Amino acid sequence: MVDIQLMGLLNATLQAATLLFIAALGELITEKTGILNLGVEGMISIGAVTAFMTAINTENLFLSIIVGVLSASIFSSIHAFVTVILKQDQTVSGLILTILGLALSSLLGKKYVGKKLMVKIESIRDVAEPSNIIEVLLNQNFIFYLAILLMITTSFVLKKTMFGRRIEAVGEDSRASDSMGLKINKTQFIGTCIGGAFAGLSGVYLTLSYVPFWTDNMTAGRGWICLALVIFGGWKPYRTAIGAVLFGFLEALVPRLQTYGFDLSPYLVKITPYLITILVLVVLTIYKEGKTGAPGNIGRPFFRENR
Amino acid sequence: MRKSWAVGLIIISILTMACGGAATVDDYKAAFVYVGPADDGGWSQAHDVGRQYLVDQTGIETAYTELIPEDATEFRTVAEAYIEQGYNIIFGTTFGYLDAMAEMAEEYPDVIFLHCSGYLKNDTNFGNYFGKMYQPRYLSGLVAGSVTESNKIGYVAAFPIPEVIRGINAFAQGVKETNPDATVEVVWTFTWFGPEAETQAANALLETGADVLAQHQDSPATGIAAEAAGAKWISYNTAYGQDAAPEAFLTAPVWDWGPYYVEVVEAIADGSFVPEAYWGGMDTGLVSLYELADGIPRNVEQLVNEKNMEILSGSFDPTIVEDSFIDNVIGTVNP
Repeated sequence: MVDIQLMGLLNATLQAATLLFIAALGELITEKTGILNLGVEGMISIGAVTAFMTAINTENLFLSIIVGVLSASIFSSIHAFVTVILKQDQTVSGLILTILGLALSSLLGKKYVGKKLMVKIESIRDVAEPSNIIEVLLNQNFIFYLAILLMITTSFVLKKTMFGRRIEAVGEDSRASDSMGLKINKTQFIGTCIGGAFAGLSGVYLTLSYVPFWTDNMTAGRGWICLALVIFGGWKPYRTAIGAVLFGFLEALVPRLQTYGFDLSPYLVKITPYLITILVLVVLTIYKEGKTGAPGNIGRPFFRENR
Repeated sequence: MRKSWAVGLIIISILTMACGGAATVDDYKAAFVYVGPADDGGWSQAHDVGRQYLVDQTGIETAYTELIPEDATEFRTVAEAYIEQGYNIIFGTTFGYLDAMAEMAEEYPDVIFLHCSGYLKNDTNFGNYFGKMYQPRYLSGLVAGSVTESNKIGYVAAFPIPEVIRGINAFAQGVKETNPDATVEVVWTFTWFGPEAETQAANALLETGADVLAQHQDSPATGIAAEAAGAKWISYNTAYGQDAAPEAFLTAPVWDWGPYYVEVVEAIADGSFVPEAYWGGMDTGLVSLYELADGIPRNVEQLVNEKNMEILSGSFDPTIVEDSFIDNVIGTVNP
């Protein structure tokens, strides 16, 4: 019994982590280009609701995944347009994206509340009660493996390829990059839309696999945890993944603590991700003179004319 | 324009006086405020079904606003808009509207405020109403106890407040009668309507070996989790949730607000309304156990029917315990 509970916890940890990680990785890419997008919560919601609606109406999983990813990406282009083209405040625009995304998803999904999904992204091998780690891994679906692939690819692209170096250069010092002939607007626009697409995939994972139905506020603040995750991970894909597993573990732990008979307040566990993030920032400030790994230009609009 | 209104009003008032001076349902308009979507498959939908029943039975004009958070300002904005439009009965259908309703009842003495699940009232225009949900919960416990094979029953519960605790205890009391060896394990989610918190809690309980899950939650997430694990499920609020998990669905303690809404509106219309703390039991039809799913043993069905009759006749009532759990419940009331 203990084994089943432990493996159940591990299983839930990986599922929660997958959702958090994909959106956080997308936000990491966006932030690397120097754009801060606080709209993660809204983008996940849009991806989640559109994928769910498509799945209910067409029962075509492939199409639903595409629709979820694309609509979140298109939705994120609002932020790209406002911040990259119009050069407006990124914080305000991001917050609006969150509020708009949540409200829009409620509106779109109104008729779909509580509807039963006939198709669902199946795990590689369905194990009702996994009893060892292999079975837990097999019990994940392809998005989990895709997340691992995305992690490796993103890390490789950012570190080893010309394209990645350009992204990083734009985020670090857009003025210098501009002098070097890099296309700032284009890079930032694409970076934001990639972030949106990743958040959309998280949304797809949420409604087509993790909790296979739709209601208002399905995201329940996960978008904010994703933002904290990027900081925790120091804008590095692998460290972000470790953070995702840690935060996912805490999320999976909250309801289980009670069945283990611990007398720990669930509220305390719920604030832990944020406490850990603040702690990481404090430690970095003390030991690394504040070098958190944040891109130098993050949050600052680039005006070519202003020298 | 204003003059013609006045003339019209005078004519109407003369006519009504000619008819004996009694007010009718046509003089009233009722507005409902819901915390969730009107079609949430749970709590708010149960109220909305009641509202539709009220319209069918009395012909009163009604309106509703859904998804209004449990927040005084939010409620006030909606309620004031209704009052401006001439609505003079306001139903607030969640506990969190309490303070706003109490204040507004003083500000608007001509409007009647009725608050579901609250405990405040006044002598003129503010009452509250609720139902003895612990009665059908006890009956559902009889079913759960007889169906479980692992002798472990899970209970996904929202908040550790008296209403929920007495429901769990009544349920466990039913379980004990059909299966003295079974335990009821409780996991708190700290949300009325949180599909993922509910899913996580349900999974945590299933991992402990529970094969029957019950809930005091407003979404069918627990049922979906149970169905995926091949376990059984006792829903809550309405039977609409059963479509979400037809294989797992056993039964559900359900609300039927319609008859109460008709009764109270008719009392208001004929002038006999006095604000009260209405707490309807199964005998009023406000709460009941939904019909049992196929495949439940005959003898269990018989037992449920017997106990049902006893509660209806008043010869039996499950014990109310609100400050601690009875001995076959695993969990804590102060998490």
